Amino acid sequence: MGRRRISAHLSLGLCCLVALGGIADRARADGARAGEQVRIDRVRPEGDSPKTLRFLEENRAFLRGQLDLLRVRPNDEAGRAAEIDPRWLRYDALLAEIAATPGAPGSSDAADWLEQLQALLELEAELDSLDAALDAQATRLAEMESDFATRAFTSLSLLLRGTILPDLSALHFGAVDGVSTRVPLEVITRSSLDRGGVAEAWRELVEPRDQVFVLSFEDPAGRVGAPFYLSLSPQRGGQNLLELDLATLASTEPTARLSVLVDRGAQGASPVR
Amino acid sequence: MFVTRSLAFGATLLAAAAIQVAADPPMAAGARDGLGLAEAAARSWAPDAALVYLENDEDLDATGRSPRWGYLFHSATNDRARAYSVREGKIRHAEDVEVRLSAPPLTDSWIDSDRAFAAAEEKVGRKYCEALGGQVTAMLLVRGALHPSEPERATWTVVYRADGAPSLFVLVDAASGDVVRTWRG
Repeated sequence: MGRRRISAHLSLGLCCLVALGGIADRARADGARAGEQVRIDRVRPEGDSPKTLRFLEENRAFLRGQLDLLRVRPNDEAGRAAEIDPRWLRYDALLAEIAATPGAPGSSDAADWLEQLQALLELEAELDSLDAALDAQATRLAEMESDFATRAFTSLSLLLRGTILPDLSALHFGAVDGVSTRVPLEVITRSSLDRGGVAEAWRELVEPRDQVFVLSFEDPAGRVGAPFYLSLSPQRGGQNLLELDLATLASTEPTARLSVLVDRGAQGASPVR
Repeated sequence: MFVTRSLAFGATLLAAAAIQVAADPPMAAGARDGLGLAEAAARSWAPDAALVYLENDEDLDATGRSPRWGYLFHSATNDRARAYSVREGKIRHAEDVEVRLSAPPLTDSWIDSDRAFAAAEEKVGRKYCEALGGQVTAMLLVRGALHPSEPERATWTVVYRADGAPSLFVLVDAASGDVVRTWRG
């Protein structure tokens, strides 16, 4: 039973790896967008960091003060009672007069009128609530449509290819100014790569901008080696595939390629369909 | 002789073209132009990211456009803020911002910077610049802080400065495009 389960897991894993291999191949077959060479450095590249939001930086106390004022600013209009429409007050008075007049024409119907008036008011309230529900629904639909039309996520997958050196047990990967994730290099991954497969080691949503990712490897003793710095420009709205050839890691010129599998709304807000 | 002169002429033309290319000013854009890209990045950073503030990151031109705009997003879930600076269709810089600006999210119905600038110019900005030799230095969009009577409304603030004179602030309602307040300080 145990062996059968392990065998099933292995088969599933291999299927996934083969599928990933297919994805990578499709990306490579995708003409101009496929397989851009990625720059890899052993020293962290220096990027320029132009200043942003300088006015806010210089005037944050003022703006924050204004926002604080918003919380405590008294509003003269709040809580003041509005004039009641005198016609509303008259209805009660009229009905009371009718009811109090013995033998007056229509006085016997006063209770019925009151009942009908009540029913009409209830109906009106019900119609109002239906209108409000329809408006809320329309707003929700508009928001969903806008969200659907403009939301194009940018993701990055790290794909491994080639044989993993035996003295490596895990890799660490992430944006250089973000969080690094430790990914163990499992036996199933190793055997699949040995057979020429491709393994997805990491996948996250990323910002569509020029940025540096850092990759390092850990040995079985837990020591992390010198990092590799990969300069990437993930394409907006695309599933970006970073394919790393592990076989070249030991060389002086390790290679990696960046492909874009799905180019959704790369420029502007073209709808995702 | 003819060949030499032709080559020299060609080289001169090439040099002139190179100078022309080098001298081309950066492409100015409205504040809305870079918003889509900044939003795409912000959603990767935090799914609930909402735009709360923006301002020009480089000088404004005579129409209220700038080559680079900065956008500040806030994530209520993470209680964190992140800024993106967009220039010519690319994010030039991104950074986490420590400022605790509790401004409410900007709704989508705000006029672009050129319309807000035109309103400010029309009202007082042009006169200020002509009289004092001033110039526009900043435009910022925020909600919930500066509107004199309805603080929930988003406003553009156009800031003019002149040597030896108090700065001029022109507040433009970001939905209607009306100037709602001006002050010097």
